[in-house]
Amino acid sequence: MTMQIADSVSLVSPDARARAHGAAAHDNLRTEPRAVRIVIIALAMIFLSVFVVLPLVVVFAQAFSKGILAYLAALAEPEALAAIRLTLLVAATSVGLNLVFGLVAAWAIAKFEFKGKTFLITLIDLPFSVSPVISGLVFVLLFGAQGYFGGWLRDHDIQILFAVPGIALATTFVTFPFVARALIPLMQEQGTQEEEAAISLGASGLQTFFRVTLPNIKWGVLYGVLLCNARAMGEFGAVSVVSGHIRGETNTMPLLVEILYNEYQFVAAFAIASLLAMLALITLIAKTVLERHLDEGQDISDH
Amino acid sequence: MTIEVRNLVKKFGSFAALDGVDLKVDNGELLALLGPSGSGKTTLLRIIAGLDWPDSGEVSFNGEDALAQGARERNVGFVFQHYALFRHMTVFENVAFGLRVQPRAIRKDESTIRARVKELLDLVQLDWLADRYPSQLSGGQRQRIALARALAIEPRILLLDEPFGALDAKVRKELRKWLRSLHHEINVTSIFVTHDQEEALEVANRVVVMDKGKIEQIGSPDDVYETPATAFVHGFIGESIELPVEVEGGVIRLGDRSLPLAAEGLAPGASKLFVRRHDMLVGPPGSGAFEGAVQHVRNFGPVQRAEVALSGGETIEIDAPPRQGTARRRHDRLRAPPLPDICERLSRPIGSNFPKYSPFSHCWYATTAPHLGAPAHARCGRDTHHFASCRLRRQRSAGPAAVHVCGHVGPGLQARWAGGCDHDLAIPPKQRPRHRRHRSRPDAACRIPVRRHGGGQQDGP
Amino acid sequence: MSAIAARRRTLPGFGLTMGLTLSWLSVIILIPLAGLFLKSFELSPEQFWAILSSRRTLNALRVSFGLAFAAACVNLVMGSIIVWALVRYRFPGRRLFDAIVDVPFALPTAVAGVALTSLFAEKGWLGAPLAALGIKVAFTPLGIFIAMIFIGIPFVVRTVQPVLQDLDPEIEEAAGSLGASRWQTIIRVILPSLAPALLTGLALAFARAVGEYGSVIFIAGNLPNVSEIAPLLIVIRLSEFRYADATAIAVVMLVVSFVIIFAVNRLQRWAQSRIPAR
Repeated sequence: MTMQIADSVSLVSPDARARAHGAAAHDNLRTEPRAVRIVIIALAMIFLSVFVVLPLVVVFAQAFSKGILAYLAALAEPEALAAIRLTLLVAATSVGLNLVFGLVAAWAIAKFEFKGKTFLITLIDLPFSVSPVISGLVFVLLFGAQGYFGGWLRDHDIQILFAVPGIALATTFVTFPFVARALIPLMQEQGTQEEEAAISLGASGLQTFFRVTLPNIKWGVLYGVLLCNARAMGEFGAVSVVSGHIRGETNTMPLLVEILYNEYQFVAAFAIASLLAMLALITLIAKTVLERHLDEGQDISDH
Repeated sequence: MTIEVRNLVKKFGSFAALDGVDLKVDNGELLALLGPSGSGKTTLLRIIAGLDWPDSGEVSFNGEDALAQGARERNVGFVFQHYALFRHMTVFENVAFGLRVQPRAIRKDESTIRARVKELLDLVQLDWLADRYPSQLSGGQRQRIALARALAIEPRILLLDEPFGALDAKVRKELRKWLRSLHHEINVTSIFVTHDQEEALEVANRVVVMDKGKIEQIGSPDDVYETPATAFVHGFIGESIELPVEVEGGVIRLGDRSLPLAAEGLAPGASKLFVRRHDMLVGPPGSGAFEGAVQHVRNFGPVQRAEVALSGGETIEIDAPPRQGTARRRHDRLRAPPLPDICERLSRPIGSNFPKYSPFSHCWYATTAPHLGAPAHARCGRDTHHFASCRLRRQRSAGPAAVHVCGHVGPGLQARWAGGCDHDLAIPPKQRPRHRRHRSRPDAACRIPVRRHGGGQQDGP
Repeated sequence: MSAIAARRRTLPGFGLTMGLTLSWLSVIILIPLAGLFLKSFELSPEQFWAILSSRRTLNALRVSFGLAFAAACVNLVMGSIIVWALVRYRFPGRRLFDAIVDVPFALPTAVAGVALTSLFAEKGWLGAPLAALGIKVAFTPLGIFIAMIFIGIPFVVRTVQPVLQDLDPEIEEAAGSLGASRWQTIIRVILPSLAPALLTGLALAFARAVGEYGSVIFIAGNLPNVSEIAPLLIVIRLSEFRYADATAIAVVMLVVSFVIIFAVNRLQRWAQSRIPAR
C-alpha cells in the first residue's frame, strides 16, 4: 500500500507542478514534437518581425538618417509645429467629447436593463466598421458646398469643412466607440450592487457616480481615453477628406507626413512619423500596464 | 417600525416573481424569508428596500406609503448577499459613507462621524480593521462590515439578503448566533432572506416560507416545522417521504392497501402522502399499514437508515432511531414503551384548523430502537398504530419485522402526515423544559437528547 | 400607486443619460450616415448602376475586396500560428511579441504606410533583395496585399487568443487518452472549438482591410484599374466634385461592412450558445 501511494504521488506531482506553472510543454498529451514547436515559434517570430517590427524600425532609421540635427530641424519647422498644435487640439476636443459621451452611454447601457440594448451597442460600434474615407465623406455630404447644410452654413458664414471643426467632427466620429466600449463591459461586470448600496445609504445620483462608480472604473476610463487618443492623433483617412490640406492651418501630423513624403522630404516626413510612432509605442506600454490593473481589479471583484 | 405589504405582484416577463404577497412585520421582529431559489424572497426584500418596484400592491412603513419614496429616502439598511462593499474605500470609509453623503444641512461634523464609525466598528468587533480594504478581509469580516455600514445611517429597518450565503459552514454558524444577539442588542425590525431552513429556524422569531412567488406559511420556527400548513412546506422543511395515494370513499389507499388514516375533508382522487422518515417504525409482519422488505441498512453515525421496498413498488428510506450500543447486537430484545405524546400529537389533523399546541414529543426514540430485523411494534397511547410492516431481507439479525407509521392525515388539499419528532431534539434545552416532559411521561424512561437530527440520544434502561 | 405606474428604476439618471446618449449618437453617427444614404437615393437605379458598373469602379472594388480577402486568409493562417506560439509555448521574448501584435492597431495608418513603402521600395531593406529576385512589391497590387496583411494581423490574433487560452485542457487530454494522435486532436478537437473565433477574426480582418486607406495608398502606386483601391477612388471622385459617384461607391462598401458586422454578431451569438455555461 505504501509503495502504491508513493508511486502515485511521484507520478502526479510533476504534472501538477507543470500545470501550476502553466508550462503546458511538459504535458505529453498537449504538445507537439520539439521540431514542430521550433518551426512554429520561428514562423511566428519571423512573420511578426518582418511585418510589424521592421516597419517600426524603418520609421526611426529614416528619421535619423541625416543625423539628429536634421531631425530636430525638421520638427522645428513652423509647419510641423502648427501640425502638432492642431493635432493636440483636435485630439483634446474629440477625446473630451467622447469621454463625456462614453461615461454617459456606459451608465445608461451598463446599469439599466432595457429592450434593444444590443442594437444600441451595435450602433455605437458602427464607426469601427466604416471605412475612414467614408467617415470623412459623410461630413462632406452634410457640410460641403453642395451638402445638406452647406447653403445654410454659407449664409451664416460658418466654416466647418476644411477647418478645425470639420477635422474635430470627423475625428470624433472615428473615435466615437473607444471610451464607451472600454467602459460598458467593465461596468456590466461590476454590476449595480455597489451603486444600490450607495443609494440605500442615502447618496444622491451624482454622489453615487463620483464617489462609487468612477473610482471603480478609473482604469477603464484611462484605458478608453488612451486608445481614443491614439486613434484621434493618428487618424488619417477621415481627416484627409475633410481637411482641405491647407498648409499650416488644417494639416494634422498624419496629413503632414503624407505631404512631406509626397514632396520627397523624407527626413521631415519620417521625423513627424517618428513622433506618431512614439505615441503608438507609449500607448502600447501604457495599455499593457493598464490591462494588468484592470485584471487585478477583476480579481478583487471575484472574491 | 412595522412593515405592511399588501397584495404585492411583480412579474419579470411572464414569470411571476411575486404573485399576491401579503405580510405584516411587527416592530422589533427578526423575520426570515425562507424558500428555494426563484421563490421571490429576494425580490420581496428588494421591493421593501426600494431597490425594485412592484407591478402592483402596497408597501407601508408604520402605515405610511413607502412606494412613494425611493430607496434613498426610505432609510432602510440593506446588507447585500455579496456585501457590495466599496472596493476602493477602506473599511472606515465604507462605514462612514452613509454619514458623509447626507445633505449638508444635517451632515454631522467630522469628529462626530469618526466617533460614530468607531462605535459601529466596535459593535461588530472589527475596529482593528478600520484601515484595511475590503479585498483584505475574510468573508465573515466583510459581512460584518457590510452590516456596520448599513447600521451607520440608523436605519428604521434592517434587510439582509442571504446574509450567510457566501460563507463557509463554520463561519456561518458563528455568525448566526452573533446576528441573533446583535438583533437583541439593537432591536431594529429586521428581515433576512435565506434558502437554508436550519438558518431560518435557528435565527428568526418568525419564519415566512415562500414558494413560486407566494407565501406558503407564516409562523414561528416551531409552527413551520411541526405543523406544516401545505405540502410544499412539509417537503421543503425537514426531509419527507412522498407517497402517491388515492382518496376514495373516505379511505386513503396506497396501492391496493387502505391506510388507517382519517380522510375526512379530502377530495377524492389522486393525492400525496407526506411522512417524516423517522415517523416510520418497523414492526412484525402484518402489524402495520405497509408491507415491504428492507433492502439495505446503513449507519450514519448514530442514525440507521433503512431502504424499504414497499409491496406497492415504491422504495422509501426510513430513519430508524439511533442505534444503541446494546440493542444493535443480535439477540437483544427490543422494548416498546408506550408513546402517549406522539400519538396525541399525531392523531390531530393538521392544516388550517390545527390547534396551537406545541408538545415536546421526543418519545419515539424510546419506542422501537429497532435494530432492523428484530421484531418490534409500537403502541400509541389511545390507539395502537401498526401502519406498515415489512420483512427484512438483508439484515444483521434474522427475523420478520414491520414498519410502523405514526402519523395522521388532516383536511386540506392533500393528505399529509404530521411532522415528526426528530427536529425537536435540536431545540436547546432552555427553550424546552426537560423536567416537565419527564414528569409527564414517567414511563417513557427517556433521556433528553442533546444533538440535532437524532444525534446520539440514548434510552435509559 | 402612481410611483408604481412609472415603473421606477432604482438607480437615478436613466432618462437623462439615455436621452443624451441617443441625441449624441444621432448627431455624430446616425444623421451623417443617414445623409449618405439619403444622397444615394437621389440617384436613380440606372445612374447608380452606371456608376458601379463603370470599369474603373469595378476594378477598384475588385482590387479592394479581392486583395482584402486574400490578405485576411493569410492573416487567418499566420494569425493562428502566432496565437498557437504565444499561448502554448514558452520562449524568450514571448511577452514582447505578444505586445507587438498590437502595433498595427496603435500605429497611425499614415506612418505605417510610409514605413511599409520605404521598406519595400526598390531600394528598401526588403525591397532590394526582393527586386534582385525579380519581385516588385511597392507600387503594385502586391504592395496593397502586404499593407492589408499588416493592418489585419491583430484582428485574428486578438480574437482567437482568448478562446485558445480558455480552451479546457482536459478535452485534449481526453482526446489523447482515447488514442487520437496529436494531429487528429488538433484537427478534430481543437480546430472545431476555435472555428467561430477564427471566422470572426477573418471577417474583422477582411472588413478592416477593405476600408483601409492610410497604410495602403502610399505603397499602392494608385494606378487606375490596377492598383487603385475603392476608398482612394472615393477620395478622387470627391476631389473631382463627383459626389454622386463617391456616394454610390461608399454605399456599396458600407452595406458590405454592415453585412459583415451583422454576420460576426450572429456568429458570436451562435458560438456562445454552443458553449455550455460553466
